[in-house]
Amino acid sequence: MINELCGMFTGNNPIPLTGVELRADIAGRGARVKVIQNFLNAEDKAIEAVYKFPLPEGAAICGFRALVDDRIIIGEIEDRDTAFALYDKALSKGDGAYLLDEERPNIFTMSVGNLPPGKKACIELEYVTLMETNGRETRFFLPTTIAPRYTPADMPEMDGIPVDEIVNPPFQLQIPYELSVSISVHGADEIDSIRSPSHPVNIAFPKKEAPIVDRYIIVTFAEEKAAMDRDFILTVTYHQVFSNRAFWCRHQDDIFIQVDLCEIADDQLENIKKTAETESKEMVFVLDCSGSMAGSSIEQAKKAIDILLKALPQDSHFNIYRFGSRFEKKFPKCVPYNETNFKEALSYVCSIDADLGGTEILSPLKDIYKSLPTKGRKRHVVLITDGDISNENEVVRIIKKGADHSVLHSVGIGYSSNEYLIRQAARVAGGACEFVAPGERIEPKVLRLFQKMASSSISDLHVSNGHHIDHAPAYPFLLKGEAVTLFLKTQDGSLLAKNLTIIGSTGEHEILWNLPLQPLSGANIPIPVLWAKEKIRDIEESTFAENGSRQMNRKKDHLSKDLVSISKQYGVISKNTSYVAIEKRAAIEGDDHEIVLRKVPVMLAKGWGGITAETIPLYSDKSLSIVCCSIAKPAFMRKAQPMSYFTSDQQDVSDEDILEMPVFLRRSTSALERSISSSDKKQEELMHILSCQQPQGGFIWSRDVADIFGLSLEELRAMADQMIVKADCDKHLLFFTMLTIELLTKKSSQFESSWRAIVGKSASWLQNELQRCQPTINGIDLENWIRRI
Amino acid sequence: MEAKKYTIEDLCDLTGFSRRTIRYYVQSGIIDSPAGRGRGGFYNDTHLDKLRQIRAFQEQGLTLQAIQARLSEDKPPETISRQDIWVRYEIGPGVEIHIRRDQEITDRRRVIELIRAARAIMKEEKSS
Repeated sequence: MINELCGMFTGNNPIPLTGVELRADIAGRGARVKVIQNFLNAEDKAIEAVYKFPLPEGAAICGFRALVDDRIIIGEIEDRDTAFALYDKALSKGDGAYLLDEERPNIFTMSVGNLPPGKKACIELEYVTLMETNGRETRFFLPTTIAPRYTPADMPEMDGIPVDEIVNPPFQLQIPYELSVSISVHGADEIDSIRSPSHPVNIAFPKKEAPIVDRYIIVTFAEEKAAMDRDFILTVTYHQVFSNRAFWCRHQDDIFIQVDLCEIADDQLENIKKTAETESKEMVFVLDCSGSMAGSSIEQAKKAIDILLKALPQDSHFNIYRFGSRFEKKFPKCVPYNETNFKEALSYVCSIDADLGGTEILSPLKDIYKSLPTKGRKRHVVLITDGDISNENEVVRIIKKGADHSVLHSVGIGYSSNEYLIRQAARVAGGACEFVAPGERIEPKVLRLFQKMASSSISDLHVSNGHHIDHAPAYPFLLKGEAVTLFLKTQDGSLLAKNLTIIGSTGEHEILWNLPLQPLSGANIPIPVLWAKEKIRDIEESTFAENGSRQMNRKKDHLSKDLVSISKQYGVISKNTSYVAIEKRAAIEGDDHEIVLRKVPVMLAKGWGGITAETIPLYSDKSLSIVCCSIAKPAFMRKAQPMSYFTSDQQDVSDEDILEMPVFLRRSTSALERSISSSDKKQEELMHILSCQQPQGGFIWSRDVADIFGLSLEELRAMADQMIVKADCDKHLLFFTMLTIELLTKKSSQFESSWRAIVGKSASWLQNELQRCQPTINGIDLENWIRRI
Repeated sequence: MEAKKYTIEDLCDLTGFSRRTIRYYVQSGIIDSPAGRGRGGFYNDTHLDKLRQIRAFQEQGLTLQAIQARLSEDKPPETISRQDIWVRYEIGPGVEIHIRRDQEITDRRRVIELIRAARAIMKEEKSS
């Protein structure tokens, strides 16, 4: 593998990027982020520095400026070709120029043109984004490097330039520039805990006497700077789940409305469950076994399939695909979920390795989607991958085509997975997605995914009591436990006089929300910018359709014009537009030197392809990755504000306003840390118990599980042997299943959301067995006997 | 005869490549740097011919990597008469203009104007 990759590593050219800074304000579900890239030309000739870098795919980039000497040059949005022409002409004339292009929704190219010897340039990008929300938790995410993307041999070049050149920067195992972060998390009193599974962080709390209106926590790296070899993740858990709400603002002649749907009323939840329970499933697991998955990623992926296999409902059909340069499938077609097939599948998963070479993801998907699911069944495809490919649009197109009959869920694995592919694949196919970074526990995430699979999604969300409303996204849907945001643009002022009615459908039942519409005041919430970002995403996705008829091509032309127009009007970059800033310079006689191109290398993502494999075992005491803290609940509890943006510059924060707290490293001995560790341990034990589940749903305990509860396995077995049953059955299986469900209910109610979906299968199996066998011990029926002990 | 000089805009019009692509080919060493003043220098017929060759290979389905390999092969000098060569300009979907090579060389400036005007007309048609 190393030999194959050698061509990707660059030589010893001077690297003009000296550091990257991240400054962010997080409030509820929203974040306003500034990314600052510092360039320096340390050579004796003028250079053009070209830096390919990642950003979150949902980032609405709405600001771009260059700081050179004491000048600030503000960037403007132009269509992509015009922007390049302006940039190129400026360089030809001896001016400075700065260009930002979008190559993929999560890959960008920064060109810093004509940087004279010894000169510095500081580039600032600003974006706003809504963070992923699950229950009480939001997840802030910043990718720091681009993992090498696999390009299929038959992928067409783009305007004569190989796609590889467009998405892949040069890679190095080490780079001299690093990342520093400073994040203000607002609403300190509403926050339960903050943790970064990816980096050790310092957390500075507000002083008790700080004004209650803006008490915020500042998060920085524990060691000031960090290597740019993995995603930075910060999860903020609030005391309470986010509430549904709708608010509006005016922009020019339009009214913009943001609707946050975070909760579903209990009576409506029943409808969702009912719809889901009647659905028979065909589950297809698709596992990426390409070289880039080698190391911890493939192990995580196997663990995910193992958990999902055990959790499958009894009447499911299933199959397992794995792919790399070629693909193979465990069974020629989906097979019933029974003990024989389950065991065969488990042993197949055990034997899997990341040994299939390239990432030809299209072939297995084509094979799956070429046939319809078995009649009466809904197909669920679970794609587990790092997503390191450059033909995302082809892949998404196939998934979208099959969305009528197949839901696709995706799991992104690794230090630097392709967020765009993972999210977009699930988004176009009505599915859920999860990301598992190596510092994170995979089990709860996979179980959460399973829960979302097990309940129906609410789709076709729209406002029912207004006219001429431009919805973005065009096809939003809501999964249980997640939050979805709708952005609306309208000129229908009558909407503001009443409650907003949102309607969605599970396919069989209608779900309704009636929300008061609040005017936006105070905080600077850029609803028009967020609406534009969603709109741009909708349009970009439509333009990915295959070229075909003349009518289709005309439609695409039209959409491209719309894209440029919205992008320019709202100042949000798109694939067809770029930011460009020109720094006029006084002409110097005879200064017609050549400008030397310097491509900035990026650091190879940690663990990528097993090349930079971890030396620290996950979750061990030596792990540096998990740092967390909890903040004492205030005397009063307020609901977390779902979203609010702040324009205050981080530099304005006075040191006097914050109280420095010690770094809580995992190995620290603080009482707080011990309590978190104890919670982690309980979760680990829970996962261990759940892993004892048998395909029909019953549990068989191992000695380790008995030890968790402080019981003797021998004694328990002897008790099970005493059981008297009226029909032939596996007494141990019956006994331990009853015991497991009872103990989970009593001892592990705090993690019920993690085990409920899995144990549901066990409960229904147990109910049947209890009726059939009527087991008793010492004349007492098993259920009561276990409750008594 | 004085060598013809082309700006990068001329090359874009004559070859159909975007400015970005031509710049990329220069930076990657696939075509030579423009002559004269750094980035703002002028291109000549050698650049134009090379770009046309690249375009022709691309139309045959070759990747850039394969094209580079072909271009670096030692080839015998061109023996075909310029009167036998016709240069094809794509004006828009389904519309092309063909100009004989010798005519194109002697009347280059007007050819460029013709192509630009034709493309502008096609764009107008499309948007109306």
